[in-house]
Amino acid sequence: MPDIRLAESILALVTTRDRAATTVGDLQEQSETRGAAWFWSGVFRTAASLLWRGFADNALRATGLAFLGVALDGVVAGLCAFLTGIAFLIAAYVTGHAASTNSIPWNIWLVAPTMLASFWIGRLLSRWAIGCELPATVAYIVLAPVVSLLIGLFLPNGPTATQLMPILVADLAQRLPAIAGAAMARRRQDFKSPVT
Amino acid sequence: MAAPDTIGEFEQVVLLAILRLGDNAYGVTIGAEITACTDREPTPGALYTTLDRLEDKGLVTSRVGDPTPQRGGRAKRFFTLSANGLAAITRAQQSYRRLLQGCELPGLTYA
Repeated sequence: MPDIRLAESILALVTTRDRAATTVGDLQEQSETRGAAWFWSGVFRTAASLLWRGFADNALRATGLAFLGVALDGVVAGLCAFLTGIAFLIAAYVTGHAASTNSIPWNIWLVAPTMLASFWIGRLLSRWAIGCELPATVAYIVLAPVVSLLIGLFLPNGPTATQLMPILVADLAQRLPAIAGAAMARRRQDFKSPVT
Repeated sequence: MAAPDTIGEFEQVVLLAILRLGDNAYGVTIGAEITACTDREPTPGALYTTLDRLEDKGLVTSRVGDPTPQRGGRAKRFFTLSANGLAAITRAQQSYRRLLQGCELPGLTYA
């Protein structure tokens, strides 16, 4: 038997809780003859379809909020770059030599703030984009790496053609926590509002 | 006067299936009715998105039934055409009817 609570929480990200429950009930009823693979395919296709509809119905608002998310992302990145510079200088002063930016602690130091910021931006977007929480968050997740890549292309010593795709994928992956942030904020809103 | 909402081809199919099913129109039966009448199986994504859209447009109304163990304790959502939905499907079908008048289609007798 498929995990229908998980399926319901996935659908509840893109529609109301009661619609998610009845849809999962329908899929569960049919999965007895069609199997679990069909059930999960139905859940993900329905979620994708509702996500797209949410974006199409609120395209301007979702895109505007996504740009706002990118701007916040930029502010956080600037702050992190400043703090990283200071940390780099302190480390060099304490150890007596320049720290290697390829070391694991430095990579964690560089990636962790982006991931935390993405989580926080996901939560903010979810609060601001009532009714299109996930479409706005997904738009931000897609837009942020594209914008940072475009900025990188105009910088001297920017990425080469072969580096573009890995950078884009890594940037995209670092912003995935935004979905968790949006999901958490949406869940809190759901618990505050009565079931319709 | 504002122009009435136009409805897409799949929306018409869903509205007609709901109309045919009467009191027993919920996701599973609507999908089955569409498959039986049109030989095409709607994907769950297309069906539920369309049902949500029709409800948001005010063309259908829904009520939630009682939860059943066969459905993991989840209730059925039964759909009914609203007065606006009935008017919209009637308008759309009248347009088709006018378009069909004077046309000869193979294997189709127009009444």
